Amino acid sequence: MKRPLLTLLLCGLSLAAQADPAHVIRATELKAKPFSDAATLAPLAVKSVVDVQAREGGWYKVKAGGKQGWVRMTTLRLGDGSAKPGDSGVGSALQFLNTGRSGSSGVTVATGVRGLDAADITNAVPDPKAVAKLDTLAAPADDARRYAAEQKLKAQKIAYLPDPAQAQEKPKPQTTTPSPFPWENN
Amino acid sequence: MAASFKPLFLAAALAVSAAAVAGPFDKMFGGDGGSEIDLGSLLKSAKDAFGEVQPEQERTIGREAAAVLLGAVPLVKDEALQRYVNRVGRWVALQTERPDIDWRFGLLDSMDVNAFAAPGGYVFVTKGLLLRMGSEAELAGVLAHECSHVVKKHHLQAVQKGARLDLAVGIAGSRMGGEDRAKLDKIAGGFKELYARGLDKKDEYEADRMGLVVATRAGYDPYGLPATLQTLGAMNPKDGSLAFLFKTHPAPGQRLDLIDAAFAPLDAYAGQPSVKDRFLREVAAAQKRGALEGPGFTLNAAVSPAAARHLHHHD
Repeated sequence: MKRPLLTLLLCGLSLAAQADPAHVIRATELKAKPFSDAATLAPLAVKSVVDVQAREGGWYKVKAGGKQGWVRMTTLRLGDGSAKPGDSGVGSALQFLNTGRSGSSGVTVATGVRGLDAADITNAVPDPKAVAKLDTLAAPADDARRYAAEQKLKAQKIAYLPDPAQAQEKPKPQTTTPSPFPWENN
Repeated sequence: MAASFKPLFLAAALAVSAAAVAGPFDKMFGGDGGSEIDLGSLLKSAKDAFGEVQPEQERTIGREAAAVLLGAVPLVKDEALQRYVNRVGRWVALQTERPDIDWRFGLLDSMDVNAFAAPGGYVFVTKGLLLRMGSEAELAGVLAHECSHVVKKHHLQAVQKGARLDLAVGIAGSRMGGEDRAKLDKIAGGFKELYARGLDKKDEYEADRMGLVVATRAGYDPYGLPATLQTLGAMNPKDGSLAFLFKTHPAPGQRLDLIDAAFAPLDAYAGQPSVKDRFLREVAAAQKRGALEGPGFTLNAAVSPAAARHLHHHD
């Protein structure tokens, strides 16, 4: 008899824990269901802030302007949009610091956790015993296959994605190959 | 495929013939044996010509690189959780072009948010990163990104390119036993520098694109890696556990933008399972065993989906 109450409690808590603000980075639509052809509930403009409650595939379940619906994951970034990531590691970290923003998800562990740093790696004394320990923990291929099948995971044949940066480059016009003999090239 | 094996075979043949003939370089092909040969420079030229390091060399190099990482951060002492990560990782790795190498996965006992790879099939993820994931598809996505570094030999090439050590040369120059500490130290030094600095951004972007595909090939929801990057992008960047990741990787938002630009062909697989329950069950069980807590860190439901389950699910 305790279970339904516990489950309710769990759901409530995990929903509360998972409600994260997100901001729209590309104009999009709030959909009634997580499908492109589902009914549109409202348009969402760039920079509008929504509350993310769950994810299903490429869709976030959100609350926006009092309405609940689904938004394409790719049109949102978690966070309220007050911090703008820069393009390089240290730079972006500094930019974040300047905004003084406190993130919604990570703030609670910020204190007391010193991260790894370059010095930890540089000063490391290699531990070959730990590497040997890995051998004892390894999963044989058949074991891994069986474990995947338990969850009905099916292997697919899919080609790698082309680099979008290279796809945008215009093909170079054909030029005649220069001769390896300098006197033949004017 | 056959063509791509040829350079490797040639390099191997060269190495073997060098060992067998052991003549001076200029006379080698004449089969004129006798005097000393600089096997190192021969292999270096073979490497320059064919760009290949032999699999056993790669393994030796990888073991030392992994030893460096494990010297900096120990493994989580929970065999059941380590086996879980290995099962998921191996299944993911089976979908790559190197399914049969000795893949080894390790969960690192650090609340730092990061993941690493080493040549020859070593892949690591920190518990700080694992705890922020919400499904096995996310774990698979991160592991697939790291497996892609191994498949593309990004670390190996970075260390060679940096002229850190005439790696292939140093190792191939002799049949290396565990006692050859000087050479191992040289390798360790090269990898310390590399891990402290990080790979080229273009290698990270390539591993993102490949990792998406590899995890999707494994049957998972393709949005696993993007979901993890979303989470990291939303974390408080002042958090000390992010500093090293931010120093060595492009910003999560940047990575997501490039993923978005390439993602379209994978949308067809969006209905694949994300395997949330098994993931949360395994991680929460390890938390229950006390395997994931550490000094200065208290599990918090707002941080970790699995922690939420553990803290509020007293069955």
